[in-house]
Amino acid sequence: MRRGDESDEKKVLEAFFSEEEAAGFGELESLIASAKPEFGKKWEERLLETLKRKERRNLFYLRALAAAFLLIASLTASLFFFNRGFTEKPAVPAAVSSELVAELVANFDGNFDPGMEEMFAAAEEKLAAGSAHMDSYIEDVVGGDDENDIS
Amino acid sequence: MNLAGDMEDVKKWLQAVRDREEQALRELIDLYAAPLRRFIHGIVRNPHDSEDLAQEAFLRFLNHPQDFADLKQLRNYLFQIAHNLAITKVTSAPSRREENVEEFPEVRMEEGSTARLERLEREKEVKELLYALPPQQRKVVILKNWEDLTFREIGEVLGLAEGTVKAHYFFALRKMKKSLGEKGDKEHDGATGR
Repeated sequence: MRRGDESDEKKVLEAFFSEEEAAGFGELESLIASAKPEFGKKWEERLLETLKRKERRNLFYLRALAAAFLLIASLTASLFFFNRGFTEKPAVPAAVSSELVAELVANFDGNFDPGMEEMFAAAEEKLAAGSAHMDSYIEDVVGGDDENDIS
Repeated sequence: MNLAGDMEDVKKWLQAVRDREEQALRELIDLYAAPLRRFIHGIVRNPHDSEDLAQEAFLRFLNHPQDFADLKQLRNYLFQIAHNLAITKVTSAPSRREENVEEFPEVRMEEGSTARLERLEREKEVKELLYALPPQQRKVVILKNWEDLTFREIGEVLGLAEGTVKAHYFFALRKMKKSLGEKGDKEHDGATGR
């Protein structure tokens, strides 16, 4: 039937609902119904197995994906913290320590003698001064955060 | 599961289907596998394609489960998926379509009396006439007579107005009746020697 041909459609529907036509179709309808194909159970069993197998495969992929994600996340986190450990160390004032070491080396003649005690006392004084300097340096730079307190 | 069960029963059962519980899957297959395969075969007319597409329809439903108020809604939804898949198949690979009517490989032909053989012959004739109908008419007749869908439900599945579905049905049956009558007349003439 042509689309939009409403009068034709109306006639068809009227005819369809007429008892005469409906009675004529009854026998044919029962013939069509009896020609309904049936299938064996074998195919249905195969279908069930396939549906279950697909599900198992889906779960496998899902688990593999989750494992890969966790691995990448843990690697990224490790790298991040490892890198942070290097970059966020408080910088030691190099001038103080290098001066001190240079003086100690210069005064050390290779022998332990009574004069050594004086030398070490002097070194301790210098270290204390250096430590105080470092404290103030850290306070200036870092702001006196407990976490970074090295004293 | 109670087929005429209330919404709660259907919800529980659908949840079990989503969870891929074997019993629920088995019930789903018992209910809809054969109807879907029959319907798809009516469109693609190839037993292997109809098996594959029916399986694909189930997988699509299982991978994207939805909520349904009752089993009729679920059935219509499955038919819609099957219809779309079959149409895609037919339009994308027309060369693979088998025009001749084939027997389903798993249909058992039991030994029987002459009456039974005559009935089988008659059914074969009807099937041939059915498969020779234009696609829309064929789909309507299959859904109406084999799957007991109402004209309204057929319209939902095929995306047609109820009146159009009725018109297709009327023309299809009239055509089949005429063809059967002509065939019967010819056989009668042949038998009487006219």
